[in-house]
Order: sequence, then C-alpha cells, then structure tokens
Amino acid sequence: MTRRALLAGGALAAGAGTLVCAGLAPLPDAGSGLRVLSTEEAEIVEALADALWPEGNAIGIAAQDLGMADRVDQLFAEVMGQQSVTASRQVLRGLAAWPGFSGLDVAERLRKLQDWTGPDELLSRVAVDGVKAVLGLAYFNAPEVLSALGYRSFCHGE
Amino acid sequence: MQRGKHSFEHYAESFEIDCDVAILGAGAGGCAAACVLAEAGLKVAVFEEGRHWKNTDFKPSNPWAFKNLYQERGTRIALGNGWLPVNGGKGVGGSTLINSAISFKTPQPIVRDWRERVGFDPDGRFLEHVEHVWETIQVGKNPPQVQGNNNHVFKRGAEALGWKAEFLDRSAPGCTGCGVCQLGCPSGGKNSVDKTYLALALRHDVGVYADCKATGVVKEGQRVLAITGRTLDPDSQEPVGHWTVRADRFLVSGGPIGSPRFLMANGLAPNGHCGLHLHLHPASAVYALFHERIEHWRGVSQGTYVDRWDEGYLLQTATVTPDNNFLGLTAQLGPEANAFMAQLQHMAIAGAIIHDEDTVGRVTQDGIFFEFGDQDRQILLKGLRACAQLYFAAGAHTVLPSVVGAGLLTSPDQIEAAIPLDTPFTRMIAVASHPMGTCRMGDDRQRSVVDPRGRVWGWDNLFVADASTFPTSLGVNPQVTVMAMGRLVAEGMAATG
Repeated sequence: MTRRALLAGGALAAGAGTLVCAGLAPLPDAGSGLRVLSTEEAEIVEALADALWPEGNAIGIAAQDLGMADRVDQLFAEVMGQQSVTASRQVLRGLAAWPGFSGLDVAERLRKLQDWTGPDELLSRVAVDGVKAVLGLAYFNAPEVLSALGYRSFCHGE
Repeated sequence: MQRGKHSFEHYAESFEIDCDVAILGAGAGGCAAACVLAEAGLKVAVFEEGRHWKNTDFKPSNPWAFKNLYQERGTRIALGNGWLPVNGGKGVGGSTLINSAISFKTPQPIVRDWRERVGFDPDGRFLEHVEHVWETIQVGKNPPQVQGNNNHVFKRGAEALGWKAEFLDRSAPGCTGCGVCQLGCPSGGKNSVDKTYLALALRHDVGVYADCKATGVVKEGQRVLAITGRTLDPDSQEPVGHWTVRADRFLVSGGPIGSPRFLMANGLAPNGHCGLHLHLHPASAVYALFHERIEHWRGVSQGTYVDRWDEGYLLQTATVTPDNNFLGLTAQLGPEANAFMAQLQHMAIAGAIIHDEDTVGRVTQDGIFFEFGDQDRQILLKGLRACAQLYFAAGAHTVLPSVVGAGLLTSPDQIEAAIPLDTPFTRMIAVASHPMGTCRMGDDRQRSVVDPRGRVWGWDNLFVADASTFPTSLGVNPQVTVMAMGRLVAEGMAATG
C-alpha cells in the first residue's frame, strides 16, 4: 500500500499502520456468500458490532439481529472507494490479529475498544473510529433502527 | 460543442470539443462564471466529474449521498495535530448540492482587507457581484413555521441570555424544512447553483459535460492549448473514455482541494505557494437533551445563528443523520453513546464555527495537512462553552460538548471545568466544510498563485475561480463570496478575448 493510498483512504487509513502490522499482507478473497469481506473479517465485524450494540442495548435493536457482516459487505462493495475499503479491511485484520479479541466477552471487547480510542491515543482512535463509522453507517441505516429511534426523513417519496 | 446537458450514457468512447472558454468544475464558482461568460456571447463548455441531478434523485441515506454527492465518497480528511473530515460536494452544483444554503454577504472588513493587502477587486466591482448573487439565488429568511424545534430552542436559549439570535439568510426560498440538506435537497426548495446561475447560462451557448474528470494539459509557451480528461462510469467511478477540449481561455474551478492539485499535477503551479495557505473554518458540535420533543431533523437543517464574528466565531444550529450522530457521540461517550442516541427525538444540535487565523494548512497530491493554531483552538473552545451555556439557558437538562472526556454536563456550573481552554486539539471532535485559500489571490507573483483578476501567474489564458483564491480566511459560510468571485474573474476573462 502506498503512502497516498493510506492517506486517501481517509479516517480509516490514518491509524491503520498503528494497529495493523500483519494487515500489510495481501488481503484474502471474499468469504462464501460475501462480495468483499473474508470469512475472518466478517467474524470480526460481527464481534465488534455485538460489542457496540449488544442485546438489551438502550436503542432496543441488537446488532446480531441485523446481519451486520452482510451490511458492511454491501457498503464495501457498493459505496466506499477501493482505498477506504482496503484500509478498513487492514484495520479489521489488525483487530482480528489481537490475541483472542473475538473470544472476549462483550464487556471486555468494549473495554479494549475504549483503550484503543482513549483521548490520548490519536492514531489508534482514528483507525478504530473509522471502522466504527462504517459499522455506524450499517447499523443506523437499518430501517428497524431508524424506526426504534423515531427518525424518519419525511420529505422523500411523499 | 453541443449546447445543453450531457452525461456518460451518451458519450462516444472519445470526443473532442472546441469552444471559447472551458471551465473545469460545475460548483459555485464555475457555474457563476459560466453565466457571465455565456451572457458575454462566448461559447462555454463546463466539465464536471460528478453527475447531473434532479431533486427526485436524492435518497434519504448517507451511504447513497457519500457515494454520489461527496468528494472521495465522504472519507476526505485532513491530518495534523488532530484530524478533520473535510467535506466537499461532487456533481453539477458542487458543494451547493450538499450545503445548508446559508448565505452571508462577504464581510466588509474582509473586502477592505483584501483590497488593501493584495489589490483585490481592482475595478471596484466585487460588491456589485455580491448583490447580484444575493438576488439571483434568492436569499431570504425562511418563515418560523418551517424552522422546526431545533432552531426554536436555540433561539430561545440565546434570547434568555440576552444574546441576539437570528434566522439565517438562506438561498432556499422553497424550503419546506426537510432537514436533510446534506443529502441533497429532496423538495427542490434549495437553490443550488445548478438551478440558478447554470440554468441562466444554459439559455446561451453553453454545454455542460457531467461525468468528466480533467487529467491532463496541452500547453505551449505561456498558453494552455487544450485540456484532456477521462469520462467516468458514474457507478464505479472508473475511467472509461477520453475527451479533449480546445479553448481560447480556461478556468479551473475544482475547489480548494481539487484546483491546486490540478495545477500542481500538470506543471501549471507558478510557485511553491500553490496548495499552501489552506484555511478550513473548523467547526465543532454541542448536543443537548430536552424534556420536550425536538426532532432536530424536522425543520430547516441550519436555520439560526448567533453572531460572534468579532470574537472569531459563529454559533449555528445543525442537523445530522443518525449515523453521523453516532460517530460524534461514540467518540465522546463510548458505550454510553447508545443511551444518548436512544433519546434522539429529544436531542438538539448546534455548534461553533471559527474564523481560523493561526491554523496553517496545505494540500498536496498525497493528502491534506494542517497544524491547528493555539489561538484558533481556544476560540473554538470558547464557542463550545457559549453553545453549552445557550442550551442550558434554553432548558436543556443534559449537554454534551464535542470534547473527548468532557462527559455529560447537567449544570452550567460544569461548563468551564469540562471544556478547559488548554484542551489539546487531539481531544476535540471537529469537522471542516469550508476549505479555502490554496490558490490565493495576490499582487505579488512570488507570494500568490493568481493575480487580482484570477489569472494564474505565468500563464496568459489560465484562470482560477473558487474558494481557493480567497486571500485569507473568510469567517462566514462562503457560497455567496465564491459565486461573486466566479463572476468577478469571469468578467475579467470576458474582457481578455
């Protein structure tokens, strides 16, 4: 990955290098039924989403009920640019490479995310917040979530 | 050249165009310039990398908007002693497709400073152009009944403190308060520049070529002979075909990021100042929870403000979609963000936007870089404090400033401790929607990129007109000034035939 690719990848790219050493290896092929994400990346997406929006969260919609890996895969395939997708996948792979991250319970995963996004951890915060932004796009554009929040864009199609 | 609107579906694999003036970029500057040049009887071709849009095309979805209406699909950021998203529009209409239509006349002290500092506006016509813009894009205040609660509680708070709050002047005479300006105006109530100056230009000998990205230049001596480019598949953004435009004069209006990059990439930058002097108008939000229902997405997206220009900032209301809402909140609150988001219907949003003066930024081919200045940082923090104070005065029970670690405030007594003025920028969450200054105008060819008529130093027939030419930071939302700059430069171009 060139310096330009890292920078142009935006928020997702800026801290990728700090979290991802292994991530500079070639990215694997898409997993079964997916267009971009590998099976391992899909698992880390689900683990992250489950930590951010666990069952019983205040919004009332659990990420595990939404198929977050499929939603993120769709964003990667249809919305985001190649450089941002590559950078995001590198960060995901960096998280996956953290020993046992997916196996931690929700509270411990959250604590780890908090450590990485502390106020004085700029680069890792940028990287992790970049991935959280992608997850946020996926979660907060789900009709179930918008409905739970009471949000409705009332000018479209009416 | 064929008159009218053109797009990808109808392009040959390769095509060539001859005209009097070629304009790169169909944003506020390029479209305003096209109108002046066309009315002067010149044959004008406008090239734009994004699409032609109708208001019925727009979708209530940030992913859709990022892909179709935002530069770099919404992921463009500046890096430095912190990081800043740098928003910019894409498509015929440029950033006016996604702005909130906020309109300020160029502040008189700024015009005076530019005239004294760099010989700006040598013919004394600029203010006439500002007035022309004001009338053409139909600036006015939207009525209270479409403003929505987000704007009304803000006004209530300001008035409780004895501060003057006003509805913002906007170029949205038909606004119905959809609250989603940043996704493209679905009602057609906003006068983006494609509906005003470009529509006027299209009554004349003008062709507008969407899905066309300029990539190269043919030059001889001190003249540009032709510009070459690629047609882009609007879905994949992959280059497909080729185009060439030959013209007598060329105007670059690619915005403060795109214009300097184009000049630098093609050996057109006259000196090392191209790409420097970037100003950003950094802005930061304050969220407030009320017992009453706010539904900030119902009403004018940015409709009210408090003028603290003399102190270096403005307070303005804002609305964002839930996904963007979450991004700001999770950075501050972590897992507590969900509980805050769950009260979305009771949430009001506003923020401070600063007139940056000691922040230093630059644009290169590799990225956008900045060093947020100490004075600017403190002014932004003061703006956040003022906004928090305003919300408590309006009756908010909880206030959250965009400062990592500030936490939830439940009393105005907590504001100063939660937002200390020595907060480093790394702990602040900010955004920049008004880049400017990277091809700055000046009368010293060693220290500026374009001369006071917008002509690139060292080139006979190459001009720039967009916010990149601003000699300094503006301090107010820039669309009116950008359009007036487009008209000013175009008027000079028309006279140079």
